[in-house]
Amino acid sequence: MKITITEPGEGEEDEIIVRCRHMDQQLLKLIYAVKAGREKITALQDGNYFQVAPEEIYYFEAVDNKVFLYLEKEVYETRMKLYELQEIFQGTDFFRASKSCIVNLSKVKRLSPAFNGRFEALMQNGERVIISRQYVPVLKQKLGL
Amino acid sequence: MKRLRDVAFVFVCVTTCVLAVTALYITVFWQQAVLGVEILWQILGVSFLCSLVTGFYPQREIGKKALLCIYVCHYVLTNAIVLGCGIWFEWFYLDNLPMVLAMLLAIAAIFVLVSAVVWRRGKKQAERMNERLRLYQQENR
Repeated sequence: MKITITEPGEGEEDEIIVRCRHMDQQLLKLIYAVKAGREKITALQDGNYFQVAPEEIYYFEAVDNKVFLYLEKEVYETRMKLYELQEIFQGTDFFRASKSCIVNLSKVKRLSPAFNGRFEALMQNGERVIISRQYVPVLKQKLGL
Repeated sequence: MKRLRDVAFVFVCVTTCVLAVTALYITVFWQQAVLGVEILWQILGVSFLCSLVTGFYPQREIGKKALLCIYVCHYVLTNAIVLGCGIWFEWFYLDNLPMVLAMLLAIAAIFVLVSAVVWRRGKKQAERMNERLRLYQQENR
């Protein structure tokens, strides 16, 4: 694949143009990665707003109508809904693990079986997240199984 | 489809275990018995009913406590099915305590064994997923 980089004109916005005959998986992945990589999440902690990069996020969890972002050690709140986050991070390392959780696959250390067809993801920070039975096929597909 | 496959897998495990336990049970309690072909259909029928219960596990998310409750209900239901069918097919008599105890022990043993086999299957699946996870993380690093 040829890569061409040109400098935009004065006052023009940076732009990525994809010229291809058909969209394959690799290309889609690249587009999603660029899109999601630039998409910082506005998060709230102790009344202060922060911009959090997706690669720092381990998982999102919805608790009592609030959505929280879990980083290695810190927890932030976001005003976004889980389904909105799922849309934004579609095709990236993030996947829906249960009705209340979206997990960053690049931060998963190990997977182990739990009862009733569920799996448990041990995150790199030592936390454990349940992958419910109905979302196991999503994970398998993501892993190419 | 996945649910059907899971039930079929449990059915194979349960039937194998029941066959082994039946052989042992007949050797101990029914040494002089002349058995007809109906015993095979009875074993298949009871195994099928017991496996069918696993197909009714909820797909929706449930908490650990609810799951534990379902497990207990599953065990009680399995006992009811096997003991009920056992009385109907005259595998044992309620006034014969050793027979009743042997049945209860057999149900518990098979329940634990099949659960262990299902767990092991999940573990193997997790190993394959971990292998893929490593590759995925290497590719996307």
